[in-house]
Amino acid sequence: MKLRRTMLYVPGNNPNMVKDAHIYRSDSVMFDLEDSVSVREKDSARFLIFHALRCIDYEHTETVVRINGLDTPFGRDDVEAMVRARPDIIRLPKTEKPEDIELIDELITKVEKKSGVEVGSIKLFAAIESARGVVNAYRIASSSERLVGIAFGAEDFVTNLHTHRSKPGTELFTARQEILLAARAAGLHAVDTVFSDITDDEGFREEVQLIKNMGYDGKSVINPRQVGIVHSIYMPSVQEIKTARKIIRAIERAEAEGSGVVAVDGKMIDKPVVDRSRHTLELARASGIYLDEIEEEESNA
Amino acid sequence: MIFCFALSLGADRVTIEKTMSIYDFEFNSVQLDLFSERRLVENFLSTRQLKLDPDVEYTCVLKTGGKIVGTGSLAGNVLKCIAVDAAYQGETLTNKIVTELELEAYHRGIEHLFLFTKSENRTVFQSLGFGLVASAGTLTAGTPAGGNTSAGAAETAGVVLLEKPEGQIDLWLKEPAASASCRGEGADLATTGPAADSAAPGPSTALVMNCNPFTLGHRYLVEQAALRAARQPSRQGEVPGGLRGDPTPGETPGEEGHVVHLFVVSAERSLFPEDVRFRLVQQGTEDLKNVIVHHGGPYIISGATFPSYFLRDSKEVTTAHARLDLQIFGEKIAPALNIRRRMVGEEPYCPVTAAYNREMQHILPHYGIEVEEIPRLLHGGAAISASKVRELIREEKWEEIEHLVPASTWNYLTSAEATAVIERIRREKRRH
Amino acid sequence: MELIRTGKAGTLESSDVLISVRTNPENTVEIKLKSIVEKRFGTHIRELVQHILKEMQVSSAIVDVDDRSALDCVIRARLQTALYRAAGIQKYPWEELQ
Repeated sequence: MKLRRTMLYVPGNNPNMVKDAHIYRSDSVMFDLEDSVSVREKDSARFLIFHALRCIDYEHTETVVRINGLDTPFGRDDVEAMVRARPDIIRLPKTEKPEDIELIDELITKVEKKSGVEVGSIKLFAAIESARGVVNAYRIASSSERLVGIAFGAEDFVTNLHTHRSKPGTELFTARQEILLAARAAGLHAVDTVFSDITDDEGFREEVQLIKNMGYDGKSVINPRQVGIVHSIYMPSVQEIKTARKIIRAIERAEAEGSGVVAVDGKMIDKPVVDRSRHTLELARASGIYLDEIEEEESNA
Repeated sequence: MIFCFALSLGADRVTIEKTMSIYDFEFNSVQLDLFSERRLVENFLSTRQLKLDPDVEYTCVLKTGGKIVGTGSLAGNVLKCIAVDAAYQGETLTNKIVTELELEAYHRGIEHLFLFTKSENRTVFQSLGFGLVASAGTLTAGTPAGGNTSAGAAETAGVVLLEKPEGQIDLWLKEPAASASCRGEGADLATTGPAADSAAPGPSTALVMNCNPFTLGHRYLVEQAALRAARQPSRQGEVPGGLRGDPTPGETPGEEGHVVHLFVVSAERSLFPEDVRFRLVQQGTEDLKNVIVHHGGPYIISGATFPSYFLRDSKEVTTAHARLDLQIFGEKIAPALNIRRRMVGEEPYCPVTAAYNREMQHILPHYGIEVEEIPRLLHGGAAISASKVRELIREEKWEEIEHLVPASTWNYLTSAEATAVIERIRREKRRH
Repeated sequence: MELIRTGKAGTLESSDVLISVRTNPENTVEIKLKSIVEKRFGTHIRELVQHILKEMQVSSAIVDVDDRSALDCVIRARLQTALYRAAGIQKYPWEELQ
């Protein structure tokens, strides 16, 4: 069960940050070839990430590369290079319609074949950053087998809407909902947008709590400090963990006994509940909670 | 976008200190034509007694929490207006800024960079690969040279000029490619540098002129220099107009050589393009056999060594710049060519040039170089000057112009080639 | 690969390397290295640079390397970028870069 609570942005032309990106223990790191790299340094960043991915062991951290759009002079070279560098995911910025995904999917397949990389091994993330993208969210979400998630990019989105970001975030509400719904309907992950004010911890927490309540799998972060905050908010409560364990154990027992319907505390357990329980336990593990201790506690109770 | 700096690792978790990983800094280039953005940079610089020079073409800033903590700019091939807030890891920020400016310069096709800064910052920049060209501190106690300290301080901050790659000036002195234009029988010195001869050159005279364009006033000055130099006894066996000759051991100091080195200011900041100015000087002095015309290069009155010539600076700043330029001349250029005298026309019009000339009279004698001021050639009671010619061009008073310039210049001005330049002069209201 | 101008890439920030390459009138490979880890890694860095130049078929160059403790992959990346810039190449032979 892949967790994507945090996706840490790393400017693609900065070796110091690139080489240590995984030490902040975010679930994913996103090497950026797009907005954080100036036009004249695109080639430089591309080669840096190309070689870094091939030589540096990022351990358990998922590697994502945000390439330049295919409508820019850099996009194609980015794909040629990055497929050969084998990040886990390629993230396409400013996705507006399913054709955008189809196009890049095709290109990735082509390069995978040319370079002997297993076809389909490199996954895709679509970043939706405009009204059009939001309106097309579900069609985008269901356009490719490679897609594993959608990310929301609010900065460009509010510009597109002719407004700006506000504290309560009302202007983002519908977009956030749409993207989440689309992701869930298509079975993908949903990752929320960055929070740029790194001095406002309170505001950040509120926003993370909000999107977690909405159902988001995680958030894009721009500063290592934000990683810890998100992870702590996503940490399940002890009660949630206990319930999840109960459910999983019931399922396991049922499977062992070959019985069909499973009930826990009088309620029928169906697939979504099982999935959520597994997810909860995964979150627990990732948060460093020792499940054995909880079990011990339970048996002593 | 936000940038990062790896920090201390404790056990198997990372301890993020409250202050400052580069993730906390934001880096932007500044839109110089937006008043509000420019203003922010100017305010930051003014807290360090610096200003944002008007000739700056590219500026970048480092911010944290929306506040500027560092800035640097590029003007042609010169890095300047660099300042960082000492409260925040100064050296790292400086590194980032200089690095960025260097890359920007590279992308603009500039490979030889200069950096102008306060002396106290010298080591920081030297660790970034910049070598010293010259430093101008206080020459007399109590005279501030940096323009940014209180009057009367005996040991005040000076300014330094650095360059990258290091040591270019020494290379330049050995062989500035094709910079010498030489006349004289038997001497084919078209591609040799000012100090081509391995034997020590005889004492010579120097002139530094912009010639924007070359006028009869310039001609007069060069003639005077050439005459005075030629009148001196030549050394045994020397070919007039050449640099070759048997070195005379124990030659008496003060004995004049007969070569005049005429340096034409190279900087491309004048209305007449450099190649045209140079050519007109060559043509206008062709008959003077002992005059060698050189390109001034980046080390004589350039945007790097004496930017005040091209900008309207305060008196203190102009003085500091002048000292730097003259120090380079006195310390490096003059010895390489054995220049013992520098001649200069009286400057009735331009206050910057006048200030420069004054400094010249103070400074060059320390290097054993005599400074001689020559009164300008008059026409109709007024000194003939290039600015007058440009003014007349603007006013289209062609009959008058013909009296002020030699035939070679006149032919150029009336040629088709000059039309674009003439147009520019008419349109632009500029000092140069 | 023929170098037609000076190619420069990288920075002097920590863990990076600033590399500048240009043609060599002497038609050999000349490496000028400045590194804060010269004693320990000087030879290695020189060998690495030589190796990459050979891979990219560059036989004549002056390479200025100002190293600030960059990893091998960073040196590779910066050198490669500088070389392509020096050669004026914008169409990259990706197949060969495996």
